[in-house]
Amino acid sequence: MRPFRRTLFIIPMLAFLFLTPCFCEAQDSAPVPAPSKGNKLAILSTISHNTLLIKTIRSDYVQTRYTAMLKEPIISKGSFVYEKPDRLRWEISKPGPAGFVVNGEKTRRWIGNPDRSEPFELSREPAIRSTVEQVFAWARADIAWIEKRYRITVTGDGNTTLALDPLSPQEKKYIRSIVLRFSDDLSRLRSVRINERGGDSTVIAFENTDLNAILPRDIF
Amino acid sequence: MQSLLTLFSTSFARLSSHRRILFCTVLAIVVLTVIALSNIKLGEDIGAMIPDRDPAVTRDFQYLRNAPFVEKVFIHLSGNDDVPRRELIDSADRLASQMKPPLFDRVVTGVRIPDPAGVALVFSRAAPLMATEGDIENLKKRLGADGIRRELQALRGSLETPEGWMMKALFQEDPLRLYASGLTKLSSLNFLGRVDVRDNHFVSRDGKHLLMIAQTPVKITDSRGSVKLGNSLRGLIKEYLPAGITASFLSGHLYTAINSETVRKDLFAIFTTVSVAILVLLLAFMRNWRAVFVYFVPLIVVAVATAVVALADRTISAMTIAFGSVLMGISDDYPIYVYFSLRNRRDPGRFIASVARPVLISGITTMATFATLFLSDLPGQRQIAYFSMIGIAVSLILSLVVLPHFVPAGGSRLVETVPQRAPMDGFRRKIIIVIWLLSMALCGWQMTNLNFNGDMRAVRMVSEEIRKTEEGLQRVFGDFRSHGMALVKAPSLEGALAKNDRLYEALRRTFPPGEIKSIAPVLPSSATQEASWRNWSDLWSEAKRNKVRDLISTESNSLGFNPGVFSAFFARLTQKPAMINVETYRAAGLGDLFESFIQKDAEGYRVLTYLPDTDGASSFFAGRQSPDGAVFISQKRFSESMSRAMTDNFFRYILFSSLVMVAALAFFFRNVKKVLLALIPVATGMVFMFGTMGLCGIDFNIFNIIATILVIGLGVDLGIFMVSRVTGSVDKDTILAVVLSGSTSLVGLGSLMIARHPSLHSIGVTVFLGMCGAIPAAVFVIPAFYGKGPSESA
Repeated sequence: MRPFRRTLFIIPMLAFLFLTPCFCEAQDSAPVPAPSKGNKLAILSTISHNTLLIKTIRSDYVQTRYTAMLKEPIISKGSFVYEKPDRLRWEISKPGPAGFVVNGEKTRRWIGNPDRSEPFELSREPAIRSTVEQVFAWARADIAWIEKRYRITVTGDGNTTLALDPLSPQEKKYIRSIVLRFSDDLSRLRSVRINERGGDSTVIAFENTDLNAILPRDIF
Repeated sequence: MQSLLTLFSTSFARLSSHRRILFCTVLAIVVLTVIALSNIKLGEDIGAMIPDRDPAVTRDFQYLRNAPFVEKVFIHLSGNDDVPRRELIDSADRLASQMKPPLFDRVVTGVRIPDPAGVALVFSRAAPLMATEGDIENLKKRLGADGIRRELQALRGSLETPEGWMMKALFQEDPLRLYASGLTKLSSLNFLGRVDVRDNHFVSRDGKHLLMIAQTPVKITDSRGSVKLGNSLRGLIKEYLPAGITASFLSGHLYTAINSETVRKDLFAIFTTVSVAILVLLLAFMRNWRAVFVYFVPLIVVAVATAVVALADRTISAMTIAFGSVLMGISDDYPIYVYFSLRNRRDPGRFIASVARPVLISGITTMATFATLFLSDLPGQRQIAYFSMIGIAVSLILSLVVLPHFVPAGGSRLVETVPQRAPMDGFRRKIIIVIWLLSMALCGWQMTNLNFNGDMRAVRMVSEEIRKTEEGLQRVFGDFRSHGMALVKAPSLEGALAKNDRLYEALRRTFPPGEIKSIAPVLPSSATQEASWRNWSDLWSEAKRNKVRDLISTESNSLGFNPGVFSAFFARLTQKPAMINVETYRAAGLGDLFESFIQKDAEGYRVLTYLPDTDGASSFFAGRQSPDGAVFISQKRFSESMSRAMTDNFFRYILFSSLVMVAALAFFFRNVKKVLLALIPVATGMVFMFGTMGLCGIDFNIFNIIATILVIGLGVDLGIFMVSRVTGSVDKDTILAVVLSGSTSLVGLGSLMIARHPSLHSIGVTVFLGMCGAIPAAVFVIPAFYGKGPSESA
């Protein structure tokens, strides 16, 4: 497996970033207040509303993967930049520099120095392709589409945790649930946890997030 | 002979007092014929023009007809430069979703593997059963410390990816990626040439084109269904594709539809033209309302011949019906001749016997000529043979038994024979003979350039739309539709797979691996699987297993794997997996891949292998290398076989018809000179026809055989009439009759020239050329050679 593929792991998680109000803090329009406790529809509505206001995102992340196959968890760190509707730059800094860029139909990837990137065929990388497509679809805040794929429930004591259970038999074979944990006021996504069948899991924590920042022209 | 001729005079006398009964009888026949025609079933099956007496050609044709691609519809979507590939794919999916029963069973836009991890697991578990000696040698090289370390490092990296999540179970069972070699072998099933699979769709390498393959229940021989299929798909394309994306499609149905429509339109145009033109000619030459009685003869002839053939064969080929226009042109010769010979006679009955002689000679000789078509290997040509013979027989009967009662009688023609023309002067004779000889020499020289083309594709209707689609598909996706097919068959699938394994082994030694598209690498027979398992077991001796276990344990520990994480791998090394079969792949969602490789019919199973249609492939199968009776089905070779059959048939016709014709002429004329004179129009027509075709680069195709027979039949008619004329045995109106019957024949044959369908048009052009040689030869060359006036010869 090529090292650059490590970068892929984070991609499905990006989708959740777009659904969360945590990125709405810098918006000109005020974010919608947190809905009453346990009101799933209101929560999703808030997410949808705030997501539509997002034009760009930049964020760091820390990903920790726990698997029974390994003695120790795998930790990776990096950052990503997204610009609506179809631009994404992903960079991994640990365990080694790597990354890729999707700019509409154009794609490039690199291992080591980004200046030595080379084009690649997204369709020949099914894992990247499906996750990138998912990111872009989620960026449209299409709640109907999301609910077709997942059964969404509000869990935990507060009004801060959403559990997504996959509906597709194919996805169900590998993923038991995806848990999104927000800050108390729903203004920030704290983490995403993916629970796999068989007990393995992955946790991603987001930090240093900028919304609607002006991005360098040549970043994509 | 004389008694037969007298019979016509006798019958005339007897029927003269019962003309009403005669008329009613003819009317009744016409009514019955019309009723029979109302239930006629038109056959448009190209099989009528495929030799059915050569088992090899018949077999090849049946295999080609049942080839997996034949009844599939290929749809080629193209996007302009502004259209992203995603939109092209979405458009294809949208179009596919609208292609529903009853016209479409299924649409394949690409290869979708619903569960990649599941497929990898299938190949991993099946690896011991499909491992070749080469695979085992490669595996041995990877079983050292370095190889195992590399594999485990890659595996650990994969665990960080979404693929790793899905493949986790597989990794524990298969840390050495045994599945990879099986996945690579899947490429042996890709016979689609320059097609890439992107986003689960068949896409061209530049991403601007997309290929869809639709399966339809509509049979390729169903012309109405084919038209409906084409119209429906055109409508869907128009409705569901956005601007910037165009689509064209290709299938055997498209050829069926265009050929069927063209033939139907041609038949209407031909019969309208020939019917009107013959009537106008008859009225213009005869200047008498009774010309309509002459006109009725060819009409009744065609109707009766069509009805009889349709009743006998259940279906009548469109080509045979089109040939009706030719039959009209030929069969009106006899009534014309009878009409001109008997008109204005005070006592027509007295002259019928003398008129009947050349008419019968001509008719029987023409029938004999058509009878040579019974020697044809092509059922369609044999049908034309008896269609024509029935028509000529009916024409002779009507002309000699019925028509004399409707010819205007009681005129002023009192003499039986009179000197009709002055002998041709010597200078004029010499000029004509010299011009004729020069023309023959020139045409004879050009005949050497004549090319025989047995390719049926050359005589089928191909519209501009089809031609462009063919070119586009070939340019973008490669010429995958014209692959050669090698096939083995056996009563059981297992038997066929065993033969297929041996065939693949033999092919692999001769052809580059990329050229062979076979299921043998991924679906070997049980025997081959057993042999692979034995080799596999030999590799994984206890010592080997222990060594590899130690290496994996050491390397995995250093890479941070938990102890015992790969224990499943070692457990399965000594367990024989379940045998692989089609169901194994079907369960993994790969069943479709085998559809184009395995066929089942009442006799058992056929397993196909696709190869480039080259001479090398043909000679491989023609030689001893081909195992188990494997046969190679090749479009190219089929065309060559057709060409060969056509050439054999052609020379057989020429020889036989020449013998029949000379024998008939000798029997009737009993004079060598007259026989040779009567042959002049035939010889001239043929040489002129072939010479002009050679000069103009017109290929001689399968339908030109019929044209040749026509030229022989018509030419000999003209020869008989003209010889009778110059020898003074018939009256002066013979020239008029010859010119008129020649003109109506030309109209009948020439009407085929207005056809858009290449086969009909080709017959029209070639016969027209032949008649252009035969008519002047009859009118000018026979008298020039004869050299004397009729009175001198009497």
